[in-house]
Amino acid sequence: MNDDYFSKLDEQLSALTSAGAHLDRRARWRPIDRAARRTVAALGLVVLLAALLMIEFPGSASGSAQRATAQTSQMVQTASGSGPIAAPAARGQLT
Amino acid sequence: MAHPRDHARWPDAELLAGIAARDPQAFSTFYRRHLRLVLATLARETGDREVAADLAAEVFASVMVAAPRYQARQDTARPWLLGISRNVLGHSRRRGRVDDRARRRIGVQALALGDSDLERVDAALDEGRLEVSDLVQALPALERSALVARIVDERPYAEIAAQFQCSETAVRKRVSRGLARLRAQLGES
Repeated sequence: MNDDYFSKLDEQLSALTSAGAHLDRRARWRPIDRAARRTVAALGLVVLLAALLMIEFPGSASGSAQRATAQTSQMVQTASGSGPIAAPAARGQLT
Repeated sequence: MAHPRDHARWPDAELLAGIAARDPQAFSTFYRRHLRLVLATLARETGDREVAADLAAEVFASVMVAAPRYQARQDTARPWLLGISRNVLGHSRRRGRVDDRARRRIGVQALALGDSDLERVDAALDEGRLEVSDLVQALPALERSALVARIVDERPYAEIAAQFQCSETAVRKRVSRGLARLRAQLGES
C-alpha cells in the first residue's frame, strides 16, 4: 500500500464511494416532497378560487341567495295582486 | 455491463455508473485513468504544483458527486472531466482560495503533500506536454507547419503566408483547423 498523497486520496475517495457518501440522501424523499407540494398548491388554488367567487358574488354566500330570490318573488306577487299597473302617460298626452 | 474484474476495460460511462452504484473499484479505475490529465491541466493553468494537487482532489470529489447525473455523449468522459476541472478552477479563482465544497460535502480528510507528490505533478505536466507534442507531430503537414510557425515561433501571419506562398486567410484557416484537431484529440472540444 502506497502512502503518497495521490494513493491516499484514491483510497479515501474509493472508501467514500463504497459508503455512498456522494449520493444525495434526500433523493428518496423527493417524490413524497413533490406530491406534498402539489397537494398544498392544489388546495391553495381551490381556496383562492372560492375567495374570488365570494368576492364576485357576495349574495350567494351562506344561503342568502335563496332569501333574496324569495323576496323578489313576493314583491312581484304583491304588485300583480293590486291590479294592472297603469302605463305612464305619454309625453304631451292629456289624461 | 462488463465483468466486474475487468474494470480497466470498462468505458468511462460504465465506470461513472459504477461510482453512482457505490463501486469503489470503479472510482479507483476512473481516478487512475484520468489523474495525469487532470493534474497536467491544473498545473498548466495554475503554474503551482501544490495548488494543482489540491485542486485535483476537489475535482475527483466533484466527479463522485456528479457521477449519478453523468450522461454519456462520447466514448470518453474527458470533456466532461475537463469541464469539472474548469469549474473548480474558476470557482477557486473567484473566491481567491482552493474550492473544497465537494470534499466537505462527502467528508474527505485533508492530506499532506510530500516532495514525491510534487514530482508526480511535474511528471504529469511533462507527460502532458509530450502528449501534445505527439499530437502536433501527427497533424497534417500544412497544418503542423502553420501551427508551429504561428503558435510556437510567434511569427506574423503575413510572413508565414509569404513563406508558404499562400494568402493570410489560408494560413489562419490552417492554424485554426490544427488547433481544433488538437482540442478534439485532447478531449477539450
